Amino acid sequence: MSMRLCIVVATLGLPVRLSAQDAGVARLDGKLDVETQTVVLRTLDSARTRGLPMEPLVDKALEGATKRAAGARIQAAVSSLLGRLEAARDALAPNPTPRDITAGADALAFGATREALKAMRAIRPNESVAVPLGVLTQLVASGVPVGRATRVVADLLRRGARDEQLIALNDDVRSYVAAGASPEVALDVRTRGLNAVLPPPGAAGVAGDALPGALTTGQKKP
Amino acid sequence: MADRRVEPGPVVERAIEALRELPPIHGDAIGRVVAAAARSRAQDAASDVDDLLPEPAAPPARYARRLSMVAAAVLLAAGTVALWRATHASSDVTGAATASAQPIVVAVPASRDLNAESDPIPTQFVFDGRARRVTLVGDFNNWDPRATPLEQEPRSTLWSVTVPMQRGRHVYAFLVDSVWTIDKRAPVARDPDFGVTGSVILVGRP
Repeated sequence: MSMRLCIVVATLGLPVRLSAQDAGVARLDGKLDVETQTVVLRTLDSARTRGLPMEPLVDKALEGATKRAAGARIQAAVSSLLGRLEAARDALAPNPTPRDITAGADALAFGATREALKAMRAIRPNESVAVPLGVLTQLVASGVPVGRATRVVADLLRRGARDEQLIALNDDVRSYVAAGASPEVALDVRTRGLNAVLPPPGAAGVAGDALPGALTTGQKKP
Repeated sequence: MADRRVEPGPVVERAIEALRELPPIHGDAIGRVVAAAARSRAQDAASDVDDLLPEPAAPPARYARRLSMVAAAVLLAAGTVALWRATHASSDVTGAATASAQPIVVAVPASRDLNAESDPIPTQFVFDGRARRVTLVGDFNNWDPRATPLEQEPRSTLWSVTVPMQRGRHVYAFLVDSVWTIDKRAPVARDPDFGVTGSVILVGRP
């Protein structure tokens, strides 16, 4: 450890990054077997060199440890998440927050497309999209087809819907589904209700026009 | 109704760019920030060592490392300031804005309000059931079974805890007498990675 810090001090460019990694290392200490920890640390290094947030990777490893998953499964999960984080970071460019990137990675895991993430960023260039992406993920998890869920969330964002309105929409859809409605019908009903209180498209002063056709595709992760 | 919005002209746009420029940074301010950060890091590291590391490093070695880190940070900050001054001394955008004959009043577009977005939102978790001990695990507390115990209401089967959480989607579960238990009132979070379902909460409403 001290050798690493000496290298950091000598190069003057990495102390913040390495200290972040060290925090992750400390959190992992004693939670994983040696082989798994080695692989996870290598993945963290890879994330650092690519400029990706490491916290979600540490969290994923700790989640696996708490769930008593086998080491190989933890390694696979962390490696898979690294790929999704990179895809999400690129799709949410230029300046996504770590929470945006994590939310994007979650959405990709549930079948959202990179184009969907790009569309969300285009509509909200200067605000976090963590909540809209979380709502998108949950709508898909509720059974709404990913293309439909993407279009609805993007449309509501374009009309200036606030985070709390999106969360309320998701809560209502879930309660309607629990009461027996189909996910799509529940989403249609609640979207109409929300549309009634939102300004028409273009009046909210938000960016983004037509969604790319690719938004309607996307396979749900098996 | 006619759209009353007026597209900003090039002068206004340049003024906006000028207003976006960072203000000058003073060397003593940097020193104060670095010193405060060093103090904070020292306190955090001390508690982390107590909690997580079985064999903490000897104090002299730790102080030497921290001094090295502080020195590196100071040098880095000084270099950054010098670079900023060098690159902004002859900025065309700044010159254009200050050379304007008329004062320009513009509404700077709302930039990313990192403070508002990163402010944690207190979020309550409630479990109803008989148990000797209930704790909360999730992606907001390192999935640490000891980090977030729930408190039982007197003469009740209700347990609760309030946790500051970032906006967005979070996955969690209760450990009820060490048994993994999902929140029956929350959506289920399927788990293709480990095959252990949890519960989901979307945080965004204060």
